[in-house]
Amino acid sequence: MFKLDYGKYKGIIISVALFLLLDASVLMLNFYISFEIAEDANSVNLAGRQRMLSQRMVKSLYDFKESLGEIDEEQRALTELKLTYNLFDRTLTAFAEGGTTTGADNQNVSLEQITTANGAEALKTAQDIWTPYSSRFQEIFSRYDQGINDEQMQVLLADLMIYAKANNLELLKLMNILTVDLEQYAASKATRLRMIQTVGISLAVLNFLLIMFHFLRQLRESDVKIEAARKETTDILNTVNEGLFLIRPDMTVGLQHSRQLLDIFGIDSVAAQPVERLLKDIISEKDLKTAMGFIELLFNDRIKEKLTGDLNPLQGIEVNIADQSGRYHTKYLNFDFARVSNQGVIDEILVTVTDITQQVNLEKELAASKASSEQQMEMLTSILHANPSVLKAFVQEAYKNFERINDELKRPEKGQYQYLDKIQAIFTIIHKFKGEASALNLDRFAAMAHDFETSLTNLRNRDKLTGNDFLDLAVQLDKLFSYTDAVQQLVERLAQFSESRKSDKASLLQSERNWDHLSHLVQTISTRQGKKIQLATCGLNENLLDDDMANMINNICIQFLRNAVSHGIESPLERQRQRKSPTGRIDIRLVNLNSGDIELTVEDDGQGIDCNVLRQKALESGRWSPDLVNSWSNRQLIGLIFKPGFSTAEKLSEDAGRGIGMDVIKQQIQGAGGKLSVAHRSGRFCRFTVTIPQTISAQVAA
Amino acid sequence: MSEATLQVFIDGVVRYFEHTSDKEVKLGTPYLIDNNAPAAFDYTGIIGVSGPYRGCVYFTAPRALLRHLLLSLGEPETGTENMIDLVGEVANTISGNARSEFGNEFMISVPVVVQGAPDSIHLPKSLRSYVIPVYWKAYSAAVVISLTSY
Repeated sequence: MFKLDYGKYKGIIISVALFLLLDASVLMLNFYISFEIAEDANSVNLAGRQRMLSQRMVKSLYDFKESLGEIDEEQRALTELKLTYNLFDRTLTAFAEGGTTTGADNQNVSLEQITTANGAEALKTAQDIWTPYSSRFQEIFSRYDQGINDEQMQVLLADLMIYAKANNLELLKLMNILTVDLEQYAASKATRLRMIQTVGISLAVLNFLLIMFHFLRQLRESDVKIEAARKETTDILNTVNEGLFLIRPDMTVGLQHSRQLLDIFGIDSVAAQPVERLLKDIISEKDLKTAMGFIELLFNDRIKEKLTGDLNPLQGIEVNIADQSGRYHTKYLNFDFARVSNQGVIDEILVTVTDITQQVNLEKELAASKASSEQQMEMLTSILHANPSVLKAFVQEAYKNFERINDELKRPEKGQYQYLDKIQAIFTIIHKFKGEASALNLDRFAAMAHDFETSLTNLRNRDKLTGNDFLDLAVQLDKLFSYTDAVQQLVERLAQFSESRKSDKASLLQSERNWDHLSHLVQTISTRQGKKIQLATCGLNENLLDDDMANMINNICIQFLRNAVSHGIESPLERQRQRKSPTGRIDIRLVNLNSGDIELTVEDDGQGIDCNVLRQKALESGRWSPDLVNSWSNRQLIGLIFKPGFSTAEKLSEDAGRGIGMDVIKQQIQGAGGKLSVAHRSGRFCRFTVTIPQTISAQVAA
Repeated sequence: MSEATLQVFIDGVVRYFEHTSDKEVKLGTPYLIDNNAPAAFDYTGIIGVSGPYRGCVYFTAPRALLRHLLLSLGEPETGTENMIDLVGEVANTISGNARSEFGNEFMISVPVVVQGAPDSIHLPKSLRSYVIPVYWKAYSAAVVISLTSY
């Protein structure tokens, strides 16, 4: 990891080493020369002292001469003279031949032999003068020690003083020459030192500048390269359509990633976050666990990357990203993983996230549209036999019925009875709807309505009801709505292809209404019940009816026909026994009365109404006291037909037995301001006559 | 939409009220509403749902109910903030119940509380929602389930 690339830094290393070497050399020279200068300064000092000693010697000589005869003074002056003489002699010898002398601090000082021309010359001359000078001193000192008398001493001193006078100035001059020479020598050394220092420092500065420029240039060059590379990386990361990021071995996201990644995940930052947190809220827990396991597997270098490809659990995965308002955005993402290895060690995992939502949605739409087409084809075959305008009216009516059921569900209730009322009211609506569906042979509608009725019956049989028990009804109602939506869409599409487009007025007053479905209904129900029946209609197409009136007439006809087939007409066998034609007959007649009202008559040639059966059913129902039921007249018993929840049929079917239809009819007729009457003769016929005031059609026709 | 799925969300609300001192909560008969006219009381807590069904489920209640509920929970402060918290808490219970019932199958978001009806962005387009009236004391609230299977 920490391996220096010497090649790249060689120049800098050499430059720095040179710089240090130069600095060290200058420093060492500095030491050496300054040491020498210190020595030279010493020599200069001592030379100066010689100058002074030459004069002090003469002075001491005079002192000694003057003090002769006074013992104390004589001794002191002699000691002083000896000291001065010895110091001068020793120092001169040390200068001339090299050696030691006593310094200013009474310590021994070594002196080098003076080799400069002027100095050596001066010293030589000085020694020539000094040698006889010195021997005279020696003689005085030794004679004094031998104890010569003062007169003799005076003679010796006079001789010395003559010599001293003659040479004193010359000696001083020579010592001065020596001092000046030594000073000059020292000064030249200092100059040399300065020069060396200047050159050394200049070289060091030069070297430093070289290093700096070289290094800076290299630094700038590599900065430019790094910047260019960084810009390229940034450009790539900002532009690429995929979400790119690295997973580090500690399972966190790397510091760099593509900009698209944030858009894909709908977040502000992702760098350095744990991968688990990135995925946690957007995929299911199970998928998260699998994904984390898979990523760990990728970091395991004992497992070959090729083998992991098929295990990737994050291919085409659905993610759900909640926004701030709590709404989910569903996306489909592909995660591709690739190991980033360095010399066999897996450093990171490169992850490429691709948003394939559009692709998946397109596939889904395609599948949905295919499924929808299949469903529509199936629906088409089931409704194709129905007359388009009748079907349209049926769908409109269906919506109204469902809305009514929904309103019933919506109505607040208090207590069990109101729940039962609700069930009753819904039953009435759905049963009527079922009749209409059956009449039009819309089997799917009829089947759904039948299921609805079954649920209602189950509810009615429960001991205690709660609102929650009605949940199933709401679900079924939703299904009915949805199915009707689909049928309506189909009807609308069919209508677009229809050639016969009529004006609004023509449609309102359509005289050529198709009533074939009524024969169809009779045919279907009678076949189901093993009966043979012929339907005869009259006046249905001859009278102008508006949509509302036509719908009402239709509803009434359906209910009466169903009633007639189920309860009126006997089985062929029974009819033969009663010497009737095995084929029963039902007549529908619609006429416009003088008053402008419309009269509808539905008559069958069946068994009429059996009042005894009605009485029996009334007793069985337990809704009334037996005494009351037994006291009822036939007219009152017939009135039971129109009571809610009353039926005489033996078993439940979609044709009869639900016991709801007749009361609805009665309500509708009364609601329209009409009248209803029943006439029958046992074993011969039963006739329902309805009179309804004509409204819109009359006005339009006029 | 299956009855069982709806029941899970309804149970969430019932469960919340079961924890209150007055457990008498009653459900009205469910009915349908058009999504272009969402029904709501004063405060509505919405949770987003994704998975086999998508859309949202929300609990909506009038101020009076919330005030009374707060008091019965021993909270004398009945300001807007507490009401919002309370509605959020009910929504949270619905969400928690759904999470534990549906397991990994569904994704349920953290509740968001709004005043009035939820924004149309929460509701799936062209679909009916289920409204389940919730009666508590003399007040009525509702759970509205607005989910689509694709």
